Amino acid sequence: MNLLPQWERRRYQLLDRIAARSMWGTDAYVFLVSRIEERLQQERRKAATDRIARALEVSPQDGRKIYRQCLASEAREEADAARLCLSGKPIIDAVESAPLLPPVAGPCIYVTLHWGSPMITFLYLRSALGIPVRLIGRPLDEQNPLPAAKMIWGHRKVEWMEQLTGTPFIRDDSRGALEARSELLAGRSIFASVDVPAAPAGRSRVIDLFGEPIRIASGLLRLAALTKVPLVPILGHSRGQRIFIAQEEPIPAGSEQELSDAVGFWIRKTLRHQPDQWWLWPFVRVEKP
Amino acid sequence: MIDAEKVCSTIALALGLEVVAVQPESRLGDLAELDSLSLVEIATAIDGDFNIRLPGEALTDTLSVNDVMRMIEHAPRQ
Repeated sequence: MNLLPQWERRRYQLLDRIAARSMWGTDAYVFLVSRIEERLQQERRKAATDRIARALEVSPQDGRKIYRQCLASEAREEADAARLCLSGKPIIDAVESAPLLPPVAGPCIYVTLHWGSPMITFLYLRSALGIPVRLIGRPLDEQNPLPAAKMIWGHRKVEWMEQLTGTPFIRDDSRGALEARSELLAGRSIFASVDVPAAPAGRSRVIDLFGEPIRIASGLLRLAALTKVPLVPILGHSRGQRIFIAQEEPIPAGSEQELSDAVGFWIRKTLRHQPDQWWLWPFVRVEKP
Repeated sequence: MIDAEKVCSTIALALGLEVVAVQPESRLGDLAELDSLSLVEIATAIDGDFNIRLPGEALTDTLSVNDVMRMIEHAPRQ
């Protein structure tokens, strides 16, 4: 019997009824979701565990432990967002930064990963620090493969984020890249994930991930190359009761190839240092030889 | 007066096409399979070659090269 559809529905009920209510509820949700997802999604578990073991040269047991923590990381971002959304507390109360994010001169593209707390990192930049930055996001339309229950939560989350920041997402559709370009030329910044072939325009290119050729979002790199703006790697993740945000040195404006090399280096460094926050171990798109 | 040949050549170069493939009547969307970044590539190339700031969001794949020339005429100089 396939329990997944039932579980998907139940999961998002738990998000509202438990995770959003308190920090204790958040912890309980994270524990429960990571354990159940690990059990139910066996193919994903195998793909992730094998990839982690190969990439980091660890035992399959350690690979599985890391994967479980990755599931917890994704669940925690959901739970933190649900709790902050319900409480209406300012984002700054939930965040510590390292120690204060260095200001970036001029417009840039903040690049992040599906790692830790990307959406809260964006909210921190925009609503707590007041940086004029907009997020490029995939539209939650019929082409989006999210399960129905997650889609409903996704719509609520986007609505909350747009309300909190007072600015709409840049949709990754036919107008998205032009809108992003206009923002950058007007001196404002862009925020997007770079570790999947997505925004803008779904273009991709191959980088090496510990011996495996994987595809990342090259549209962002192309946009940076065309508008001559730097990339600023930024990551946030939960640490104790707060979300810790750290920003890397900017990657200077350059050619698409130079940016791709630098982003590849940063992704490998991040995953070597803290592999247990990356949600995409089971999902990366591997380039077939 | 905007040089039509120069506009065709700029667009052709931005899209990686032979110059002869681009005519003033050509619709951008018929020239190649365009995604939203292709339009950014065209806008950036035109900005550079004509020293203007094209209002990028007005650019769509349904426009013809003649339409783009009119946009260039009315765009603010850099």
